[in-house]
Amino acid sequence: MSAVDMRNVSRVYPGGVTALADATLTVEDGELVAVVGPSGSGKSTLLHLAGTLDRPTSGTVHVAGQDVGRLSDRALSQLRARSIGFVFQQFHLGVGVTALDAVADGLLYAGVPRRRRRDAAAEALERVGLAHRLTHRPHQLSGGERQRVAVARAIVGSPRLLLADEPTGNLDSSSGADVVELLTGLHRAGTAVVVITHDRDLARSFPRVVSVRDGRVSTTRPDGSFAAESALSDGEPPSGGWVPASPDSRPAPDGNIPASGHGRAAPGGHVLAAPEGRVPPDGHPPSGGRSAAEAAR
Amino acid sequence: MRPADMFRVGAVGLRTRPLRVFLSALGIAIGIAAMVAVVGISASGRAALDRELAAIGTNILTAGEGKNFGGERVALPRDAPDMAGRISGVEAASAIGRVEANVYRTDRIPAGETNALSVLAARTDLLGTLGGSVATGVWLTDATARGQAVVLGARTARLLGVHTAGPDTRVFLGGQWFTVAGILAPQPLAPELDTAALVGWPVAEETLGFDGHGTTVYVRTDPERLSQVRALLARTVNPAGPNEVTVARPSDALAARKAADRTLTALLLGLGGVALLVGGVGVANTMIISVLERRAEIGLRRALGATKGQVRGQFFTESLLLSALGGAGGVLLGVAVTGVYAAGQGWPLAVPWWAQVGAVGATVVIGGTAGLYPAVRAARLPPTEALSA
Repeated sequence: MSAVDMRNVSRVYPGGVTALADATLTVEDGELVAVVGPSGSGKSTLLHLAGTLDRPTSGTVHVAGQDVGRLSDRALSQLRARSIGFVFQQFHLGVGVTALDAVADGLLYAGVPRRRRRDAAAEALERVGLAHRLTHRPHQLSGGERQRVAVARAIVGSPRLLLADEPTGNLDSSSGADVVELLTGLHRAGTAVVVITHDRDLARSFPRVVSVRDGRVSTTRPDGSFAAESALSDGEPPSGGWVPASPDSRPAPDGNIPASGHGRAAPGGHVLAAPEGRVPPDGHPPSGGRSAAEAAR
Repeated sequence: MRPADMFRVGAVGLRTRPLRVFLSALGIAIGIAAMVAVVGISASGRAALDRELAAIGTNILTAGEGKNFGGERVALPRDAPDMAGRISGVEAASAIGRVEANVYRTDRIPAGETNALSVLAARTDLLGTLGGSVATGVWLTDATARGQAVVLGARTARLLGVHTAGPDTRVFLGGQWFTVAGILAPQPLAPELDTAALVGWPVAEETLGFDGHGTTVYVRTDPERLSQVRALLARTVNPAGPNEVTVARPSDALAARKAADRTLTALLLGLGGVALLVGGVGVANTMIISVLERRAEIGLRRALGATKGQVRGQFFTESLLLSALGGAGGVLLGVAVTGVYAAGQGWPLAVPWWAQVGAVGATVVIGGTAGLYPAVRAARLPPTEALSA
């Protein structure tokens, strides 16, 4: 079953700016997907539509089997509260709010009683390795720790779909690696994880990469092992803020991929997939045939 | 979402911005405090009056000389006080009579500088009838009432600069020297005594040309039978012309004077209301700024699954809490101001419960009104726009 199913989705903002045009994308349950593209290409719009924060101008979006266009604000909010987790580049942690309370807020709108919210929050913080930081406030935490708190908040309700918008954008490489490790761990546990990133090396370590350019979902690489150049030049010629892997941007031979331990860098810029953990629990391959067809387009 | 959760979420926004919360709550508090203090001071004044009336009694009646159809003064008969004393239900009766004389500190004072003080002949049972007392010295006795002795009213003594009574203190009254035997305490039920110099009835008749006709008869009645006495008083003191007698109950006048203060109280309440309104505008302003600044938080909460209604509720709750805080502070402040003022006046502290409940109610209304628009605005903010801010 698909966590997100977008068909022929367009989003035109008032004033005639087309942020997304006729995009079709399916993310299966348990899949791990990177979304890449230059600034302004429409990847945030894609993420907002997938997260039901926005509605498409045309086309249909199904999230967790529900047609977003047909849901009321209340039903949509419940869908977000129970089935979707968000992680943002800016963390969005309230000033003066402790880590425990911030994470517990992840369950606030799902109607969970306070005591159970706090228990679940403590557990989620333990899962992200912050069991010792429960009562710390944002200014007492490092950037990496803050983002891990945000991840804990996103996963405290065990959502079916986790959407991360540049989760490592404000972090140094080692903190970023910790966060990516958390996200891939979630993917291994069965959550569909979609990550927007500017980090080509990071994207390369993902089993599936969706490229967005000028509002079009133009490239899908369905398999784990790939030839970067061919895949990335498959669609339109590279331009703008996103440049496909060129020799100087390839992973160093020593394998310093931020997705520590997950993908392995091989000399020549190839990332070899580690097959174990790439297959979601339901046995489906991470990318379905439809996605492959998308790639061929 | 549970009310407790709503309360908690609304409080978070306040807890993390203490200074701004303090300042905008202060605006509300000043308005509430002004209104509570106005009501409290007025109530305390009334409570003090009630206490005073309870102490001096409300069972005093006066029968004064009136005017006939021609507008001429009609003096009371000479035996008016004695007649009044015989009415069933009268416990005591006494009288004063106007003496055509002036009182001066010394014989060197120009005759025109009378200070608007009057000279009255008083019966020796006057003070007992009124339940009054002397501040210093002694009241007239049957002996001193025949001699050159005078008792000064409280204000008279102050205006003449007389502070002690005794054989050495003399004033110049009606062309003669009178020894000040005593000085009266203020007489709330007979304020005319405060600006008078009181001499004995016999000496007034003998040396000051007093005709012996009382101008005002005072009677103290059995409180239960006050109305019966009141009905009989006029025709008893002047059977020949009951219509030419003015019967009054001085405690009524006192109460009426306090009632007149209510106009002023209403005016001050209005001013307090304006202050409260300004406070409400301050809260609305704070909330609008808060909504503008917290777009990211609104977006995040929407992403976490908050409905529009829940976002609206959060900011509405925050506004209510903010003004409730101001309201509570204002009530405390208002009671404190009332307490200080009442202590200064020697009044009992009385702030009516309805003023305090009303203050809280007004606060809720103000907070709700001020928070409505910002809350609706917060709820209308599209989540994507809020997150990109």
